[in-house]
Amino acid sequence: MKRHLLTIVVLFMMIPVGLRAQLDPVSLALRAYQNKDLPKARELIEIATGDDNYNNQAKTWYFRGYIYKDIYSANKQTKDGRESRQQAIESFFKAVEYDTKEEFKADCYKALNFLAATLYNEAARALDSANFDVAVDYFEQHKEIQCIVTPGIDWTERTIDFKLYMASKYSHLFDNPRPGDDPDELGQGIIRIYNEVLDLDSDNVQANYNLAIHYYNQGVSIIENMDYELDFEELFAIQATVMELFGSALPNMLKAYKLNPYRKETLVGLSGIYFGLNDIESSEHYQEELKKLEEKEQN
Amino acid sequence: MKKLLLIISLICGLTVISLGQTMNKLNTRAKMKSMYISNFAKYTEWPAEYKQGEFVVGVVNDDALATMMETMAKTKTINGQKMVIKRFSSPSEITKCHLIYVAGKASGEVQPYVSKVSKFSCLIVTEGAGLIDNLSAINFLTIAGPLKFEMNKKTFNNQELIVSTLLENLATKVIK
Repeated sequence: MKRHLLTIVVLFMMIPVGLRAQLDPVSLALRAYQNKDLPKARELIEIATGDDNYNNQAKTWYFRGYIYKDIYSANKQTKDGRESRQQAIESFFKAVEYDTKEEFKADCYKALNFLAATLYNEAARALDSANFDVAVDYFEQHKEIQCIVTPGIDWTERTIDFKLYMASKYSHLFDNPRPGDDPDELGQGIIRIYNEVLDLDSDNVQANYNLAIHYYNQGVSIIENMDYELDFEELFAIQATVMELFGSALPNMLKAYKLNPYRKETLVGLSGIYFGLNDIESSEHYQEELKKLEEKEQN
Repeated sequence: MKKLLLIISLICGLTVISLGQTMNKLNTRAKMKSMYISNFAKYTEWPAEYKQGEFVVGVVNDDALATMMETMAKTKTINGQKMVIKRFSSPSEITKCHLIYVAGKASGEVQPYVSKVSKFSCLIVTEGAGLIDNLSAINFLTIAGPLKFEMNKKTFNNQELIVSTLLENLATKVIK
């Protein structure tokens, strides 16, 4: 930040004395900024951006970006802070747009990188508090900036990581719903997100495994909660539903196994799914594989 | 900036460790079998002297099923009789039962238990290929898919038990 301030001061010094004397709104805003009077700096820079003499100059937007960035830094968790961050992002992009000599570009990109990182962190925080729509919105904003500022990033991998984390949060809520949560909606959400990951990378072991476990656990949960008074007719209906869920789990678990045959959890999963499907022979086959794997590890 | 990157990497770290979903542990087949067994009892009629007192279910060499049945017995009654579960691991332990489930795929494993309970009006349930032919009254099939069972009406008759038409109709195969 000190380096940025130095740049700003140097730029200020470059402004002809005569001009400074006229106290144009950009210079006044910069002076207020240097004096750490951010409300005044904001007021003045807004005058500048509303004035056709200044609003097509890169430095106007560059200063505006720093003023709003600092307002954000001072009020990160407030609405004004978040709106200021948005203003800062827009300003830095505008500064780059008008910066035909590329005097500010590198500095603007650094600031944008920083702001993009704060958006990523907020996306993660929103996921932790189960604000999924907000999280997606922050992540998309982060991605949008990074795509311009740091081209060449592999977004597939990052998007997958984000979605896997989001799915794990959905799963946690599915297992521990809050008052008002709709388990069906959460369950559908889990399936949707894992399928989105598999659309991006059908060989993703984690998504294949977790989706299979989700289906399997749903089936197990139904069996676990069966009323002991159930008659044959109801029992058969439930069994059909459960078999369908175990059947849905199988292809994804087999895929996870194909991708990594030495993962113990997958072997346990396959054994459990086949057991649920009453295919005892296949279940024992994977139990045997697990046993061999564990013996191999011990030796 | 370094601090910020650290925060990001910490978040990524959290992502990695929180991805694996936990698999629910439940012996699904044992739970299903326990539900079937209670329904077998519901659609079977015992001689008058068996219709009072406790309804005793014996379980041989299947702890998972015995545990499920014990949980069930806490709340459920069979034809108005309180359910009691007895675990047996050798033929010498066998006492009077209304119903007995004998685990074991080979007839040699099952036979000694069947001989012991044959003097009672006991509904014998097994799970193994060929056991229905001359040992049990009901046998769970070990084929993939929904749990199915076959029935031997002769064994029902020998044990002085009356099976309902509904149960008979649900069986995959009935030996008459």
